[in-house]
Amino acid sequence: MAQYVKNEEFAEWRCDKCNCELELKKVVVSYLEGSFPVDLPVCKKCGQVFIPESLAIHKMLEIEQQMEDK
Amino acid sequence: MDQQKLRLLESYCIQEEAPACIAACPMHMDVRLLLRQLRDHDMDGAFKTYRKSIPFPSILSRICEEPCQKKCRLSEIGEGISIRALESFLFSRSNSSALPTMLPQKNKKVAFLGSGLDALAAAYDLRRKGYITKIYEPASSAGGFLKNVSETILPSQIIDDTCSLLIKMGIELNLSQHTTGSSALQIIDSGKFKIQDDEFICVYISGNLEINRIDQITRMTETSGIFGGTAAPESWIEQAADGRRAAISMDRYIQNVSMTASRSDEGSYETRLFTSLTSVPPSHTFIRNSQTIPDEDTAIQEAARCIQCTCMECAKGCEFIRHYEAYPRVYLRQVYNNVSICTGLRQKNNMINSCSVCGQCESVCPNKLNFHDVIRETRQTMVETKKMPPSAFDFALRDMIFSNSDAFMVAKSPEGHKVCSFVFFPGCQLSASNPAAVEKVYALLLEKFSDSTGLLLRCCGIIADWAGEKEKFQQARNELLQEVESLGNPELIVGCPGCMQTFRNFYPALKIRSLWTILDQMDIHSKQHETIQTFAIHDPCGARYQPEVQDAVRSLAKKIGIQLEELPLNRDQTSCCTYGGNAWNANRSLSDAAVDALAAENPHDYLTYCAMCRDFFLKRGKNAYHILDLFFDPERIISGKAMPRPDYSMRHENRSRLKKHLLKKYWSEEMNASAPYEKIKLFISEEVRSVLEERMILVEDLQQVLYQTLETGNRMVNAQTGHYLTHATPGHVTYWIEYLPKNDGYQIFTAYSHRMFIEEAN
Repeated sequence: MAQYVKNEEFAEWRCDKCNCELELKKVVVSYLEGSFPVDLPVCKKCGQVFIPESLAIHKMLEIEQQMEDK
Repeated sequence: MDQQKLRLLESYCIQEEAPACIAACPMHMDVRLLLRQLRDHDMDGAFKTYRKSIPFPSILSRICEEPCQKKCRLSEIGEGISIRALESFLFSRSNSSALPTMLPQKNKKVAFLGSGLDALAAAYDLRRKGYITKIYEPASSAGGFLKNVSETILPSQIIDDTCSLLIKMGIELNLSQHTTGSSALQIIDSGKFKIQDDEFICVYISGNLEINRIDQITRMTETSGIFGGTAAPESWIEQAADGRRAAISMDRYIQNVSMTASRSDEGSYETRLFTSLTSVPPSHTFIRNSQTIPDEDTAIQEAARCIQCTCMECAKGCEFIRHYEAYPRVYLRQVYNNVSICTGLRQKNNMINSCSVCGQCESVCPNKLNFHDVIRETRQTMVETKKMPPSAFDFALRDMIFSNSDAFMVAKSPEGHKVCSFVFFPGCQLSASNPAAVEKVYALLLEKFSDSTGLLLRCCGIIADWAGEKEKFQQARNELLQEVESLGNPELIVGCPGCMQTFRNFYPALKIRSLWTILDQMDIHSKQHETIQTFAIHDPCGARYQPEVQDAVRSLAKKIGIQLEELPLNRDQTSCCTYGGNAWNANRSLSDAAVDALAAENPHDYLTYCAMCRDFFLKRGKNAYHILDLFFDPERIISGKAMPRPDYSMRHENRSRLKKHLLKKYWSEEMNASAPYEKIKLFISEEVRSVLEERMILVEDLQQVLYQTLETGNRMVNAQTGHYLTHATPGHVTYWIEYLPKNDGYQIFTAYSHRMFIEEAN
């Protein structure tokens, strides 16, 4: 299972709704005809996901572009 | 595009055709490569190139008639390259006794009667292919007519040395064989030939006088298995080429395969390659005496005169063609393969989507290859087969949806009229870039046409066509036609050259007129200003093949005191700013490079008449004006101050405000209430705004996300900064916003997006 987010990238963030810390957990991400599990920070209580900026603008963009060419 | 169409289109692109020198050489020696290698001081490489095509460098570098030089394109404007002198230079510093590479010997024999240059060349080729090769020469030395060449030009020692080399290769050279030509031959029952006690599969008769009929393609005589040379050679190089042609046939004859297949490119021919000499200065040869061997410096100087003939006309103004480092013939094949692929990556998607579809390549192509329609059709196929990358043109298509929504769309006759004779169609991007100019033009038109001019604000639909979205284009087209009909089918006064072109190509029934022609005829600046400033004029790609528009703008510019300089490619051959084809959306780095290259063509500020051209130049730091910027504000001509370039969000806002103003001013109408999310007030610094621009995130995207999430309370909070982070997916894209409440709105610290879908627990 791919893990793209380091602990220090979400250590300062908490879920505001649940006032709860985040933990890395398996989350399914999908695009076009593909989906795969990734370890992402989520609220321990409600499961709200946190995508850091660097993940979105680098790795996720790269994977999106690869999948668009399949 | 099927295979047949692919081949036809490929044949229009002549970039791979041989240059004139190679086509003229009957041996097709790669003169262009040899000269490049010599120019680059690669002497060994250059000699290898020579040796690869020429069997006897020592002889031919002395006596070749140089058909290549006569056909050299430089001879049209000065003197052609003295190629033979360079060959003799290369030969002089080579190891002339080196044996060529040879295939293992076959147990098959071929005979040669006579030893003229043609026979020696054929024997050399067949020996290299492994045949047992025997020459029978009546004279006491080999060479035939070669021996008649003056000793100063071709010393007999050179011929002797060549014969020694042939013997070293294993060719049996029988001299003083007192038989004349074919009388020495006996045809035996098996169809083979007998000479003395040896049997041969086929025989070559050098320059034989008894041969009346030789097939010019195969060089076989009427007698199967007997081949022949040239009785009265016109040139030495032709003679060597005849020998080579015969050797190919003899090899095929022995292998029992077609002797006539694929032979059209043998011998001298006229090339189809086009090479422009427009910017080539005339030059003269450095070789003063063609019979002496030049020194190294002179040889290199002479080789450096070569212009390395090539076509590449289409690359001159097109960054797309330059960027992928090939030419349409290659791109056609890549496009075809990309569409045909069943599994694996479609590696050319981005290439296909990076073309501006502007038609420049066709306009400059010597054969008028229409590559842009191939790209258009390919994009349509990609959309139909659901293989179009969703991100490629999404942003551009959303802009079109915006233009054709209530936020901008207007179709109105003047107040008090059901129908109108004229309707002003400024185009979506002029309205986005300079809404004030659109208002002023409309006021002018009402004045000129006595209040009979209506207003039509929307997108012409070309964005969808560029994106390969046939259905979306048809829908936009149909809506526009219905609106025009509802206004009583007025004539459209069009303020965008791209829309003009779209209407001409796809709306043949519409009556259209260019705004520029009307403005030019209005004589607003009737008293011609003195020339106060020089600009370079950039014709938008939409104005291609619209000379009346190109002329009207030039005339208008002159009237407001502007002197114009022309760019290297202008009018029908003009380059696109990459707004065309939505290329800027699919490939931003290529778009920037294209604009930079175009901007560097002239040091003056640019004057154009397409809003997007202006804004793309401004974005890359080139001062540029739309002619309306100056028409209504001539002060700018002197101040040199360009109008500010609106960012993507501002382009939306400008259009909506324009609609609001015009509705109120001319129809006393209020615009429909805006969407509730638009009331959310945002504070965004310039720095963050440029990040949003780079990431193609609009202010209204942020407003929609905040509107959706503020009530749910779904957000993260940063323990250090106190900033909130929230996200939502209003359409196909998920946006993340880092913000803090501020006064009556929200301050934005950053925003980013992705298209991947996150399957969240809640």
